[in-house]
Amino acid sequence: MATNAIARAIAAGHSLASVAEVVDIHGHGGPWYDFYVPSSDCESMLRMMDRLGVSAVVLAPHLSVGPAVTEGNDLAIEWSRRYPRRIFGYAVPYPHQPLELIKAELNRALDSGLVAIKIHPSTHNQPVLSDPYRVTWEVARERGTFILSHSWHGDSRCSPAALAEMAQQFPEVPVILGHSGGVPAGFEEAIALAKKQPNLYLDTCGSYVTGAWVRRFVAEVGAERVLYGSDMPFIDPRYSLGKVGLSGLTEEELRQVLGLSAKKLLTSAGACLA
Amino acid sequence: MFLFDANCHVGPWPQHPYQPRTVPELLEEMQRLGIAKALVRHTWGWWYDPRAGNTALEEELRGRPQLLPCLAVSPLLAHEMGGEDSFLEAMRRSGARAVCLYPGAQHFVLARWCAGRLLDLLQERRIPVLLEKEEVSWAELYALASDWPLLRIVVLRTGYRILRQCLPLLQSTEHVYLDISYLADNEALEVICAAVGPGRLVFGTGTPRVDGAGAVARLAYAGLGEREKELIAAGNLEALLAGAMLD
Repeated sequence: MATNAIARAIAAGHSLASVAEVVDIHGHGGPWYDFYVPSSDCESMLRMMDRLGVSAVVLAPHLSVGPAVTEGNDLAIEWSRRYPRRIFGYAVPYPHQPLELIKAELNRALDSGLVAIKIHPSTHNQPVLSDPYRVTWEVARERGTFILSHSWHGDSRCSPAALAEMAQQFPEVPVILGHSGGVPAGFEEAIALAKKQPNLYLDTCGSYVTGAWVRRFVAEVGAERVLYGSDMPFIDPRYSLGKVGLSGLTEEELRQVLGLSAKKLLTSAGACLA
Repeated sequence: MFLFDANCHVGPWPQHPYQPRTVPELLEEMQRLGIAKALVRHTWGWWYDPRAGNTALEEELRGRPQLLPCLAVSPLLAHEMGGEDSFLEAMRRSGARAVCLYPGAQHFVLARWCAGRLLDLLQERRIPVLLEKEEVSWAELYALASDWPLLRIVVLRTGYRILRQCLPLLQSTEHVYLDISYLADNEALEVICAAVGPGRLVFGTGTPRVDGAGAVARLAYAGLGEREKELIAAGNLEALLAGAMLD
């Protein structure tokens, strides 16, 4: 049975607003090509966040991690301006542009209110260990912000090892391993690398992440570097919230993972939280 | 809320050392998630031999009234299950009211030429059939539901990226059900209930391959009425099992 106030609220389907501050570090938005994504507009996502008691999300619209980075960044800007302190946006680079244009687009998006950078080396088919992403890391360092990357074990474009190498080259830039390597072998890889590299962070979103793995992330890396992420609306956010909230973490650990870890990163990146 | 899990296994897995694997471990997991009752399968029935799996399941669940067995069955009833009467007697003896089929892993086809007698029997007796989604395609499910329109088919661990196929399937058939263990498309519960009503979903965890906490939270937070949630949590599965005619 649920062992603390947060877990009890989740098991009962009650909003977490009164028991914990929840910040979702890994959101998206809008439709996607290979399946129907219901309720993917930002108002629907906010309604879901209200139901769960999620105070804020940091998101990159599917458009920006897909075929149209500039339009996707514009959408993130529009949503974050429409719902300040609830929706924060990631600036996404299109790695197939000349380097100066990548830099210019990232700075434009960050100047327009987006708070951090998201990269998706898989959908954009570009290895992270390449000049377009080195420029991206340079922008993150100059702007004092963090990077969330899709990560997947066995995908040389975005393996935890490749991202750890970038994290080592840019120790000032916090790097979140989105999906924490994706599969159990990736979780092991991500944990081992994060233990050596203090600017590497793990997130909780992904089909293969379980409560047992979340406990392991926290035990090995520390709750301060584990962040709640949902992938909403790519995946129903209740899936990840349940796995984290009912994982058996202590209430203090849950507060850290569900919100405080993300708040610290966002605050250091200059975001204005509620 | 009273939760009745339609989708869990005990036993060892050849591919991965999943936990829980024993009955006491499963009961501990059920307690963690607040689950009162479960329809349980044995991994041997999938990855070794249906009949041996059923024997193991019957022994392991003895004296555990909250755990109901779901027996594995091969379409070669005479060769592998001791014949039709013997199989039905095994169901009665163990208290089973549902079966599971693994046509992908166990290499048979859900068509009349291959599994016709078994599927006729299950349809006639309204015995619910559990099918893991990874064992069967959406097109095969549609063909099965069309050829045996009264067969109760419960599709497990559907995954996400499924609404373009599962919504038309549910809308064009009457007795196909989905478990919610890995029904992870955004707001899929609400979308499916709006399209075909709450009667086509059953609560399931996918234990031990899926963390059942995801299903618990999706149902707890579902934008549905209490009655709809109760049907998904337990009512629909109870009704399916109650409909089985074994005498």
